[in-house]
Amino acid sequence: MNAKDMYREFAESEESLPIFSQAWWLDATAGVDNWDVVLATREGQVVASMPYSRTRRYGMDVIGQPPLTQKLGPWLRPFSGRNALRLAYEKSLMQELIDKLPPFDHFAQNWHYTCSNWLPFSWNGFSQTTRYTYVLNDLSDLEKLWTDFENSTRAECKKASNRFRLTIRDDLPLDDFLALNRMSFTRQGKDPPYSNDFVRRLDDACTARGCRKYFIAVDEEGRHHAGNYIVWDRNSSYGLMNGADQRFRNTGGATLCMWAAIQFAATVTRKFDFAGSMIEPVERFFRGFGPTQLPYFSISKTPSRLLQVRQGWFAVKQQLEWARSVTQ
Amino acid sequence: MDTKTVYREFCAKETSIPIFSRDWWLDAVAGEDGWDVALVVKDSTVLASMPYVRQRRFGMTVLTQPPLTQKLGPWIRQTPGKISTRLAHEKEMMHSLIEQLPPFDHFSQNWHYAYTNWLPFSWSGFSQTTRYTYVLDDLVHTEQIWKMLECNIRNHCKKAVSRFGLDVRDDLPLSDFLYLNRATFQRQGMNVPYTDALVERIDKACAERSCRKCFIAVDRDGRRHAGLYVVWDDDTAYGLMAGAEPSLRNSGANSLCHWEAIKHASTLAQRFDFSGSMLEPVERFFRHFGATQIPYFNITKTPSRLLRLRRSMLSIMQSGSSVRRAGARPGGA
Repeated sequence: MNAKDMYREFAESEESLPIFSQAWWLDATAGVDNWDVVLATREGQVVASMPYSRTRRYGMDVIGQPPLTQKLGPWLRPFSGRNALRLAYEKSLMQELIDKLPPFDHFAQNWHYTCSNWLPFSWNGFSQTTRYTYVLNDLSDLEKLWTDFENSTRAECKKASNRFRLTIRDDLPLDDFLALNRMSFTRQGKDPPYSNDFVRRLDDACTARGCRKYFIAVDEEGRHHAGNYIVWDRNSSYGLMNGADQRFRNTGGATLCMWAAIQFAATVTRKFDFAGSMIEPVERFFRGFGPTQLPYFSISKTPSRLLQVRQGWFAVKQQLEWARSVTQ
Repeated sequence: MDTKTVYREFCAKETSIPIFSRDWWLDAVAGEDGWDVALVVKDSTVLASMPYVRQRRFGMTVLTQPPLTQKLGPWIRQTPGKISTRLAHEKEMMHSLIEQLPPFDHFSQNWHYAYTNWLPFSWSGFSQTTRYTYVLDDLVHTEQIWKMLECNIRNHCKKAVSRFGLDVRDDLPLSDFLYLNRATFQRQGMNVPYTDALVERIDKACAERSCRKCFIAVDRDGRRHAGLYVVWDDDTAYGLMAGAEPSLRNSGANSLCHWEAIKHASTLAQRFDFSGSMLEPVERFFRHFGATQIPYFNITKTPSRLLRLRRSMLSIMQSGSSVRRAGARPGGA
């Protein structure tokens, strides 16, 4: 049995593996043939795994992460024992995973926030920086969650229900959500990083496993103000996509949708992960819901001399442009 | 009153300021005029502070970490209240500290591990990477710590005493320690990153405040095998410098010095900080003491285009040489 088949079986049974590392998720997001996995096994048991997506860009091999896949990175079987032994254990497993990676020109992955030791990757020439996600760690007491919201966030919810008479629907067609999602990108002047067909494929896969739901805030005239899309596994729900109609941006629709999603998430999981963002206004929006800020690692490596030269050349070019602008 | 004077008074009474951020420490490592501080004061209470050391190199202004100073970075007064309020407060304080920094061409600081939110610095164009230090965080029960040591460390300590007859002394002159410390750098073919004069200044400043001790393992013939220099504040004792006689490296003296230092630290601090290292063999040694691996932030920014260009050229050249050195992983010992 090859590593990928072994991983398919393993992923089905390992509950601590996040949804984004599941084989079926990678089939849907990367495509069946565009991802692979490195494994460490002991006595026929998987003790460490690291799935990755593989793409060719301009003739370069890039190991990364498919769209809408927030986290990948290594999974290590939990180790209960002395600190010194745990670190040695992590080190040997991570080294084994690294050694099994195929050759690549560029590597970039975001890790799950439970993985906090990247030293073995550092010793192998990788780089790291810290990003954040925002997580509500305990959804069991909704009243407490509500009181822990910032005042302005509660006010937005009330405004949406009382003044603008918005209601939340979870039975509208996916295309209605997609329309809102596309509007958000258009407003920011950005191309969406994933196509409608991509989302439909992912939606089919999640629907088949009963682990997705989306919420749309609708007014009395039936107009759609905002929406969000969540997925979940055994441990956490994740905010995957959002969308809003610019014309109704002051009606509190996005906040009300998020609150509806959190309340629903409480019925299926313990945690709600807002899916991090380093963007200031997004961070402020999430922060209003009172979540804990959790750091996670972004790990990268660019062994390709060509890509490095390209990165260096950009610095040179900037320098020349700057020099020119100064002398003119 | 200027900010530096306010900060000096503040350091004298705020016990949660780590030793490396104290005014007198900075005087010793950077000189009285070599450092300054960003300060947020409201109603004559200091709410946040961030000292920095200023150097001129090749006509560039560099805000950096002075030698033997493991951590600087922000200190922020804790506020009660909801998480969201605390995060908003932290953001406001950090923005205010960043605004007060003088113009610079390059900035690099290591932060205390208690500070885990660098987002406001990210929004101001800084970069971050995670490094590690190793900390024993409950020094109360030294017997428990002894049990948690890996057996090789326990064996080293026993061997040092029973077979080599080593005795750890804390009354020897600083020059004895400096000799050992220098020898370690020489053995590795490295330049010592600080001068004797700097160590003497630190030693004098710490001696005046009774917050340093130097442990040296000596055999019956009076030969010095290894040494460890420790400083401490109200919370933590830090292993600042170590050294060993290259010809006497197998006597377990280094482990013994660390163990004695840990026992001593337990009488006056909560924690023992081994001072981080990203080097593999050093990491292994600390790990064997049963210390917890704790991440801390290194925060940088290089607004100077010239320096950025130099750095990217260096990284291209290094990648060439690292290809040639492939297979020679660090610390393959």
